[in-house]
Amino acid sequence: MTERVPVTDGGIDSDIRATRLRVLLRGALWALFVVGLGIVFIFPATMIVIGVFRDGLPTAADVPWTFDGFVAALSNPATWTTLLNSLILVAAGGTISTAGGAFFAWIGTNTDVPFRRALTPLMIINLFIPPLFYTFGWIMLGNAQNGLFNQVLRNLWGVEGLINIQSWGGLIFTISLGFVPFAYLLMLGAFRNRDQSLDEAASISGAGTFRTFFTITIPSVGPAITGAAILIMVLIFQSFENPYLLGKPAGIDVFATQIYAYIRDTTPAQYTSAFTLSLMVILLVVVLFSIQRGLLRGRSFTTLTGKTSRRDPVRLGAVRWVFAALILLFLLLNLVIPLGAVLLGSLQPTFGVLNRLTLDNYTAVLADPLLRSSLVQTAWVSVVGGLIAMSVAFLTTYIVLRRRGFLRAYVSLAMWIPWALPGIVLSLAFLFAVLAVPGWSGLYGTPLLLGIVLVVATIPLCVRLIEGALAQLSPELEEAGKVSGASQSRVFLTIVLRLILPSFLTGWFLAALFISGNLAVPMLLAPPGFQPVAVTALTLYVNGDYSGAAALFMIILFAAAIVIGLVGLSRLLGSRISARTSATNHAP
Amino acid sequence: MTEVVVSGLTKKYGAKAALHGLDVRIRSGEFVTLLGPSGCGKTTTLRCLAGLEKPTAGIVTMGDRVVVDTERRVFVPPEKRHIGMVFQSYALWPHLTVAENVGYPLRVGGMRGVERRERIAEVLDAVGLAEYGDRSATALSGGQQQRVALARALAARPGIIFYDEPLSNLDTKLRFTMGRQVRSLHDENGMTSVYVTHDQEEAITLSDRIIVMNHGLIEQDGTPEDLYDRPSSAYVADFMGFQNILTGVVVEAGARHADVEVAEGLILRAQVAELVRMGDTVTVAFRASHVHVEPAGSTGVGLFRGEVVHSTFVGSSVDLVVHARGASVQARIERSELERLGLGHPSAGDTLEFRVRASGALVVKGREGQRQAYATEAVNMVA
Ligand SMILES: Nc1ncnc2c1ncn2[C@@H]1O[C@H](COP(=O)(O)OP(=O)(O)O)[C@@H](O)[C@H]1O
Ligand SMILES: [Mg+2]
Repeated sequence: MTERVPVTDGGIDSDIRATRLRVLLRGALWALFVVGLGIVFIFPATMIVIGVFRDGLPTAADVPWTFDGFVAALSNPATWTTLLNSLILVAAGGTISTAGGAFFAWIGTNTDVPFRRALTPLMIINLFIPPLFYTFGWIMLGNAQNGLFNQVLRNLWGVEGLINIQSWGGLIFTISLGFVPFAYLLMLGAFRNRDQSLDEAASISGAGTFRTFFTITIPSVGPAITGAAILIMVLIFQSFENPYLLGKPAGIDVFATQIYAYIRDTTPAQYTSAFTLSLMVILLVVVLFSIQRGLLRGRSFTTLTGKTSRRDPVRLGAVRWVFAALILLFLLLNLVIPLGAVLLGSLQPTFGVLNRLTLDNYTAVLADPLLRSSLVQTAWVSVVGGLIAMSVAFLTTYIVLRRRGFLRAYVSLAMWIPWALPGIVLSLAFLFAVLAVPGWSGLYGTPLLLGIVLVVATIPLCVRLIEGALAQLSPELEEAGKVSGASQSRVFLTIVLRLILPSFLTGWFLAALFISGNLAVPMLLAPPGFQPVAVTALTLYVNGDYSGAAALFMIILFAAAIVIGLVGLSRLLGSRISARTSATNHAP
Repeated sequence: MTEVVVSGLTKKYGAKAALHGLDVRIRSGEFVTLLGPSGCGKTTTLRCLAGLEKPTAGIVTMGDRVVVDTERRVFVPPEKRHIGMVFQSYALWPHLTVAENVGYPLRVGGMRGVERRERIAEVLDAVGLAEYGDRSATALSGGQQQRVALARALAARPGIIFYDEPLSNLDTKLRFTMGRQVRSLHDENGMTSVYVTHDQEEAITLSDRIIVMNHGLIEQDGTPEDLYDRPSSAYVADFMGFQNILTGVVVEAGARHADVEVAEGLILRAQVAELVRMGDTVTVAFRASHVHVEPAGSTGVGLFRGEVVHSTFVGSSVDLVVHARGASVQARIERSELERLGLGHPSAGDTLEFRVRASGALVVKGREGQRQAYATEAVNMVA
């Protein structure tokens, strides 16, 4: 027995009480967090599995449990056509965009190709423009009846409908091109950090430039390439806008559009078929992610770090001018031409009239109370939704990084769900989840539900953006804060959030833009009287008012550009002011 | 076996030259080391020889083949030079196994089947990695990776192998054994080796010949003994571990010796390589171990009285910082020497009689600003 040290100051009791309170409070907060994640992420996902075996809406009375719908869906040839189409699109798009991204990443980091320094800014700008906008641009250009290209061809040579973007070719072309920037940014780090002496060792061994590139350069960043390829394939599996706008008119259905068709284009809605297809998508995504895990297992690609011999970039000779031309071509195809088409379209009094450009469409859009309210509502949903999505992504990523055990595993699982669920499936799952719980059915058909699903659908993007920034934040910075006497929440706000702020703001901006460009979710969930711009533009487009739709998109892009401009300006002013104050401080 | 002749090798990065017209001849079968501090141009030289860098000017021949001649616009790329190289970062390909790494030069060279397998086994055996062929190259330890890199460089039996600080990522003990292995592989395979390091000990133990570089120029070129015993300049002397480098005026000039007054009344006798005249300002270099303690009352050249300002016990000897007539001298005195003279360990404040042996002191080429540099160093040491 050790002798008890008499407690003289009597403070121990209050410390015990405070500790107990802290534990309780913390426990309650965590419980709330766990339940909240469960409700928003996990519960809706279970609806998909249940939905496969119950034929009907959850609100309907006496829905029987049955395999019939499942069997029917699997014996329907359309299901297999859809699978085949999806696989073709994923394989072709995934391969082309990964190859393109890797090629540009290599050019940008390892060679002496002119304009290579423009690549990263170009790709980032590309990333900031939602896919829906591009797709519209391409339709305006390559539509078989009245696309700009076809009009020009008709006027010049009298050829009709030579180019048709609404086809297999157009679909693969736009999907591949659209994912190149993402692929590029995913692989950029690997190409930049790779030890260039790996290539030099190959030259020394007698291998020429070409052989070195294919046997050493590319394989040595293998995991980065397969990682990017798999992520992009998952995203293509989930894409809705391009297949809906470009594939469907040509009779090409993929999972996302076929699921939508089962719910909206058939009466009565075939929910079990929709859920069966959803389950197939999820399984395919799981398979893709496990392939990636399998590829990485037991292989270490981290070479000796430290002094890498970074020397002159690879001198490519005359080929570099060809590659420079490819950069310019990419700039044209993936930015200038489609955006130019939208801009031009928005200035035409009626689509196709090129000689009298006006701003009438803009004034018309802004004068129409319905369109104006559509813009305002979209702005609200995007800005608030973007903030919430970034906050959730930030918090959960932080927990996954800093916590161990159950919390970490649980949060990782919850965060994984939106990765596996395409927007259309997510919407469907939420629809059923809301209807399944008696007290919640009031949410059905409200902007709130739409907002929640948009946030969940945007979270994977946000997680991707914040992960990199958080990974660089050493835990010691926070520990130093705690040791200095700051509470956990204070450390979180004044140290973690402060350091992460630039990434956070960028992510918020990007998330808002993506929410404003999301078509799949509002198509299924937008309540009457509440139409986000994506749906409004689609309605205008379907009614033949291309110019009005174009003006709507341009207004969003202008608004985004103004935000960027303001941010840039405030930064400039901020650095001026801080420079001046520090100058006066240091003055003798 | 490849002889390398370099003449007028110049390499500029932008306006700044990293190499200023180097002339070197490396004989067939020789083990030559480029030695010098970081940034002096060793790597650039090596890479120009290997063909990884295009020289701005100059001619390089390997064997009887001109591989670089900037005037005649000849440049043979590295893959056509039939060379081997060991990189500082090892540069092992992470997607290949040990055997595949080693076999890559053979595969590229068109060797196949049994012959290639046997050659891989042979070189892996030579570096003691016979059992490791199927491992992933980057999953090995640092020393093992180093040996894979060595095996790969040797595999195609190139006439010449380049090494760029290959041991700098290893710990001290491993560095020693690996160095020995590098040298014995050189001897067994009879190729030419060009080795780059900033470590004088490594250079001395491995090389047939050392080329000391300084700011893109060759400072001295000679055998390890030459450099160790007879550095020709203060720069090389400093690099070779001459702790005392002092400037003074010649007061007595002979054919082989000169007496140099390095501080008022402090005259040292030193060997001369080139003729010096009375009144010349010269630099004298000597090692701390060339300073000896003399019995009180001795007479002769190179003798001086000095006050010990710092004394450090280092095992078999004692390191002293001595002040004598305004000059600061470092001395390493053997304890046996002190015992022979019946002296205890000198401590700060003691005044003793010292002598610098003429056989150990050298008159060397000075370098600009050096007096200043050594003065500050001495002050720092005392402070
Ligand atoms: N790619 C490069 N661009 C510009 N300067 C370089 C480049 N490579 C080397 N240098 C410069 O050339 C000089 C010699 O470098 P290097 O040969 O690497 O030295 P060492 O190998 O002796 O440390 C240094 O001053 C270095 O800064
Ligand atoms: Mg170097």
